[in-house]
Amino acid sequence: MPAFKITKATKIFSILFIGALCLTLGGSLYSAHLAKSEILHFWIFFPSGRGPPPTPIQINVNEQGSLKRILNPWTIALSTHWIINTDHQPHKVQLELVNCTIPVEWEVNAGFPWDPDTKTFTEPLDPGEGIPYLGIDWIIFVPENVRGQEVWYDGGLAVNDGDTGERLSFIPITIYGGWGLNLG
Amino acid sequence: MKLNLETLKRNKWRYLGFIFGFLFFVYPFAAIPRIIYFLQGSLAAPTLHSVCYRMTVEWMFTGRYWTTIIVQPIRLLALIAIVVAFFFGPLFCGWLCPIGSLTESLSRLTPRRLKIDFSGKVSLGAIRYGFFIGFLLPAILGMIGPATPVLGSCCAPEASSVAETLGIAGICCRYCAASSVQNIVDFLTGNFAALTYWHTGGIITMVFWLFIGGIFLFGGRGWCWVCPLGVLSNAVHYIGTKLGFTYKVKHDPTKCKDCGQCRGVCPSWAIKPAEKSVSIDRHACTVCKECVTACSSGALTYSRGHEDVKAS
Repeated sequence: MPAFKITKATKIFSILFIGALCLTLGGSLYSAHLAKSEILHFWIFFPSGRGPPPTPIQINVNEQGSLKRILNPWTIALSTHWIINTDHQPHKVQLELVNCTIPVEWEVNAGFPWDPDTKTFTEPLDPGEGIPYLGIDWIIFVPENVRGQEVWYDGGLAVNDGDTGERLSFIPITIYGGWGLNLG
Repeated sequence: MKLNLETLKRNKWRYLGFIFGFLFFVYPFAAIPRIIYFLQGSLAAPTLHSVCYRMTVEWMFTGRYWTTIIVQPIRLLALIAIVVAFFFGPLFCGWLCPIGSLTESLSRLTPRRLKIDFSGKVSLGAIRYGFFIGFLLPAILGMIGPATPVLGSCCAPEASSVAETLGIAGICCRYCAASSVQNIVDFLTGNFAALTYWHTGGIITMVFWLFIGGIFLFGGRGWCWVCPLGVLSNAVHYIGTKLGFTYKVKHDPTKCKDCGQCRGVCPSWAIKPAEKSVSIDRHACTVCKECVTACSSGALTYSRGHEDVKAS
């Protein structure tokens, strides 16, 4: 049986392979760390009581990455690709940012008709269905008069029935902006 | 490798491919997603982001892909690119990809002395497969154990308890050069809000994709090393080259003058010096054919047949 010999090329290959693997896994850990404070993605199941319960969203700007805090500190983004009707009947989905007094840009791209004035998907979403090809980004611009406050935004995203106005779900959202604040 | 009239003439079809890559995939053109959405009756705005090859490759390995293509047939594009890579080589990467073609083109405008160049000295296969395993591992671990809804996940609304415990997350969206390309093009075409929001991952990606791995890298194809579609395409291309009926770049050492011209034009660092000859790294070659058109002795060809051209 021939003896296995580790050549220089094998060593270099192994070092590069393990280095690339570790760097990527490090990127994954960092990604998980940032995911809850930078362009946080969440899902929306409605109505409340059916499907997974809405998880309150708490964003602490102190947990953001250094590059973001240095280069782009005064914008916060939230995003969703998932709005799913878990009810037994169709609903027109109307979205509302409750208690929001700071400027927010809604960037909506979906395979479903959207009315930007009423913030409503104008066709009913069938039971068990999700809005296809959905991407909504809420870009929040933090005005100067708010930047010194400990809480930049305390409200939430309401999902209403576009026809009846009935509240179908509510996801609480709080943005903590006080530098050095530790939520534990 | 630099841009001059001779290079442009020699590779005109490829550079035309770069332009078509933009017309096919990048908003405001995005012809292919536009056609697919039109056929589906979808109102979504087609962008480079909507094709999303990174997420698609991740889903291929976590099982989500095969159910998703029914409702999102746009995801078939990645599979087509991989199948083509088996028979003809990674043509999408070398001829159409807007992400790689943009940085390759910009790199050609940078003086050689300013560019990082380890071509022929490093094994890109090691880097690429190391990355690829690291790319897939969090996604696959995310499938093990009972799924629970998580905040922060872009690709899926749930993750497993294992992924949560390990504190890992998929990286396909956090570090996405397609978003960077689309944001820049949106900005240049009048949507000034496109550059409003930059997050840490986006800034890291921009620095690596555009500058370190792009403008200031010989070949400008650094991002391809960490592109999952590129790695997968090269993996199947490597297998394909072992078979006689597939197309590949072939080297005939009997015709080779060892002039080094091919090594000097390869943007993918795929040609390595060998004894009085060269070898082609199938894990890096994107069948761009720059070497074939540059070789004055006809030692390099793109054709079917077995990999090694033996001396007659």
